[in-house]
Amino acid sequence: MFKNGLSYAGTIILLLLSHAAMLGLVLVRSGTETLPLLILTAAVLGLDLVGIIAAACYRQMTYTLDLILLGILGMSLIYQSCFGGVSLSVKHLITCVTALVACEVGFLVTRDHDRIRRQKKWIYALIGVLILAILTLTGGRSMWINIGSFSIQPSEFIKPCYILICAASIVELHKKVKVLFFWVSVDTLCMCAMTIVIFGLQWWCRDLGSLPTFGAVFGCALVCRLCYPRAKINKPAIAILCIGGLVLAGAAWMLAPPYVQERLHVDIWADQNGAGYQQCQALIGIARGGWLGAGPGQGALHRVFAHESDIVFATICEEWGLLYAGLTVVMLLILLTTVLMDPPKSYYHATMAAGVVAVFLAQMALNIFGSCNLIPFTGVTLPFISQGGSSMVTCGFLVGMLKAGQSPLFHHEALRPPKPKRRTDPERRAHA
Amino acid sequence: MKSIRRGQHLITLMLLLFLAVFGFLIYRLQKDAGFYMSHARNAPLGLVYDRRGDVLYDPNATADQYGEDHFLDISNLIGDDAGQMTNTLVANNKAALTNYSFLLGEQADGKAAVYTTLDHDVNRAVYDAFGKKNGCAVAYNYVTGEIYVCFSKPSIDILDGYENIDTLESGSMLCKVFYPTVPGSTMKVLTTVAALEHMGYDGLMSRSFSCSGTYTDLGGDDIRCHQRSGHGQQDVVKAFENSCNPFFAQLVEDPGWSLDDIMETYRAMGVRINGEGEAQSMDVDGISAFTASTVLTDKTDFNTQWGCMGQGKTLVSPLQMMVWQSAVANADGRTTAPYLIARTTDVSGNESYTASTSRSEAMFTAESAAHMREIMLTNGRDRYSSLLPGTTVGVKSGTAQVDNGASENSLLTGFVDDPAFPVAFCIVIEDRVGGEVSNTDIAGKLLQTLKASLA
Amino acid sequence: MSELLSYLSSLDVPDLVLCAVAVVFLDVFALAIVIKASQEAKLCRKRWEHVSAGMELRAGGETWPLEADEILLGRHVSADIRFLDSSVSRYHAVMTVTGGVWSITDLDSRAGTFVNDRRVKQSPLHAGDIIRLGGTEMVLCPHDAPRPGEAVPKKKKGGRRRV
Repeated sequence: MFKNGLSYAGTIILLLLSHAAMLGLVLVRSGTETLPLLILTAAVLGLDLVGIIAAACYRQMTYTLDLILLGILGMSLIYQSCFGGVSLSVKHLITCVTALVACEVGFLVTRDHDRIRRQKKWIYALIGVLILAILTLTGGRSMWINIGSFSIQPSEFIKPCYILICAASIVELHKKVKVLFFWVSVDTLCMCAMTIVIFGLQWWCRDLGSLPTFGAVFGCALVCRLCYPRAKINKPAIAILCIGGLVLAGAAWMLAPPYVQERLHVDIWADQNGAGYQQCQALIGIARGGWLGAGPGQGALHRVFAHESDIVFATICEEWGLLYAGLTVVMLLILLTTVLMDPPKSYYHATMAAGVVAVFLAQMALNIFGSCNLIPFTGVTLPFISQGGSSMVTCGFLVGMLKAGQSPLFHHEALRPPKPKRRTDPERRAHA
Repeated sequence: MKSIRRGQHLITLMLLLFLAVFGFLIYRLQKDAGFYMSHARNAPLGLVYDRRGDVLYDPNATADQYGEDHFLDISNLIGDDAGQMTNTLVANNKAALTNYSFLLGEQADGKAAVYTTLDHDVNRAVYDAFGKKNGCAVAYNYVTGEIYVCFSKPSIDILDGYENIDTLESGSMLCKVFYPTVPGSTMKVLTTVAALEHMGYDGLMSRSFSCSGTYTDLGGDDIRCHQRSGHGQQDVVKAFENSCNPFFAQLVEDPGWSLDDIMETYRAMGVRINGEGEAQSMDVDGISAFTASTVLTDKTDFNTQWGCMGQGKTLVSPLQMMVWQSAVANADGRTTAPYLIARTTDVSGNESYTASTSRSEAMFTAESAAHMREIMLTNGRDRYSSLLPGTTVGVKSGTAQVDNGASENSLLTGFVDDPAFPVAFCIVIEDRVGGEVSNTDIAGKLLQTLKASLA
Repeated sequence: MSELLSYLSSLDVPDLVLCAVAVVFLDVFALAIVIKASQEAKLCRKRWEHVSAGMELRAGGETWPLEADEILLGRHVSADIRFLDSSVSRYHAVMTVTGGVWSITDLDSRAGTFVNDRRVKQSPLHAGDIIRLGGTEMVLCPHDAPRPGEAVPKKKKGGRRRV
């Protein structure tokens, strides 16, 4: 059925069965009526089948990423539809479909890494357009563009573009130009400049939650570029960077605006009904859920603001239990581990994969650890699990990028044999 | 190829780092779940018991079950989880009382419980002995630290709920044992200890001052004695018994020591002088007891001299006054930390906490402690032999002017000289004028009832 | 342990069974994904064999497989194929592949890159081509080509097309 010749029948059956088992749990433990559950079942299994058929249409070397993505999306749809009561979340279903579409788009766009390299300037231009959109179309210093009842967050779309900029090929890193007294790689300079612009934009728009994500990608790119020319870790450079990073972090800590300072220093239990409300409720919800949860639809966290996005991990823990929530996180990690099992064959895709993994892990860490009070709370989404169209589309695109690394197209600047020279008339006459 | 492997290593490192922190998070969540749950509304709570198994708190208590007024004497000490009284045992120990575990979830019929050291029968008997008077009393074992008696009047009956809190008497919802009050002459214990420390016993005993009813201090102000006719020439033992103000004023002015000497001893005993440093509080199983404070400027200053005699700006909580007695009673200058909770059990009934005795560093020398002990026992023998017939009780009484002299409180603090019944106490009766009840009566009732109960 | 047993006995059996079933299915699905991914990895390796025309570099007794589409050759420690010969520059050349055809590009090395004794800046490579970087010589050949000392298959007359 799939174009790489392998049989996925068993895996597909297990995918459908795991979703069916979850739906069975919903049936027994939620005490809901049959109709909403039937609608949800149809939506989930329908999404699975549509995703499988769509994947079968493309010639790929690997389909496991598609199947894990379907697994996670199905689980996410069930979770979001059960918060506080079973009722299909149509908005989330639509965003799941768009995530699948974005995944394919990401795959098709980034599988030819040679073409991406050649068109890097267009990626810079795209980022510029997105930044302009943020500066002009959002109200005030916001990151959101509101169109009717929809809201778009353009900064999410900057993430995949930024990863593509940070990925580089061996050949690019060797193209050096002399600037003053130094030979520098143009690509590295442009990457650093773009990073400063993006950081500045995040700071200006007060969306400091995304800074660690961009920082993680930049860190990976830097490590790959720094370590690349030297097999061993370049200790002095790493040391200087770490010290520089710490100084920057310290300065940011001290100079952070008051509302950020509050977030950083809040003792959530002392201010349970104020600044610490969401985190306190999240932790109480997790405690109430225990290992196996109170049951789908039986939680109380659905009354808390941002229960479906910022503290979604706690909401799942409360209804499904810490065990199941932990398994969901493990599924996300397996999605990222497939890169290790099937390594890319090009340096560009390898650095791209590192960037994608960095984004996913940074967002997961910020969301989960922030809502559980291990680190300060930020409004960052959990990939695929949190509700949010822009986030789903971006994460889908990122998984498409991972897929591209496993099924790349190898087209370098064709070193075709030169066309035979056309003989001029005198030469032809002489030859004849 | 190496270049690609490096990217793979980076990914592996990031994944392992995330997994490690996530694992730690899971561990922390299930370990601290009880703490989180204790902050939830309507979390199922267990019971609080006294040392004999009498219930001091039941989240589902009704008057039919326990009788009216059952909780009256301990409501503002033990409290409840309604959030109205925050400096109480239940409010500060909800985690221990919550019938919850991460594995079992909320269990309405769980076995979580707090077993206190209080003796409710004695507590109630002494509470009732106050009659119409308000005040507070606290008594504890100065060797182990167990608090046997602790109440504050007026109080609130938690069975009545909080709808009518506007009609309650002022101070009903807090336990005055933990809040500083004017100590009156009971402060002379500290001043005497300071004198012993810095003058030595022989030096102090050699001091003899005269009291003619009024003494004009070096600042030109008059210090009046409560005995108009005066006490004549006295040494410190006599002056202590007489609680003579002119004697202690002259003692403070004595050139044999400086104000810094007095302040040094006060500081060692935990008194905050002239607002220095941060205000501290003593923790008694989660309840905050606010520490003493005073203002001392100059030995010849009227207010400073009164400060050393328990007036002026001096404030001490009855709890702290009692705890100082332990340093004297144990004759080693080290206080014994008081505690209310003997042990706790978790939702499954397993013991989750057992109290242990804790003693402080030496606040003053054992020599000074032994001599102070003797001075107090002499006072007890001579003036308070009726408190506990057959046993000497070291005592210091005090009268404190409060409300700018509008009324006076009567205080009594001391310790029992009996290794089988090592009890220290502090009693405060508000608005003593009228005098239906004396602090001697209350102290006697307390000690005799307690001794019988513990026997 | 006793706490665990009392907890398990307090749950409704259908709840417990369903929770267990859901967890088991999810775990088995994850396992199936992992197994499938390793099968796909084998498939990708086969495809790479096809894309890279199954070529490898040999010099003396050493063999270097070509496992990426951009391979750095040089003396530097981080080079994908490292030569210790001091006549080889640190970053000497890069080999790339397109549709089964390998090419080599010189990175402004000191000693230059030679293909079949001709100095090149950029040149496609064919099986049997001899590449010289400084003082090191190697030959590009398929995996299954016989090694020196083994029987040499007869070469076709006519030679290979050279650019």
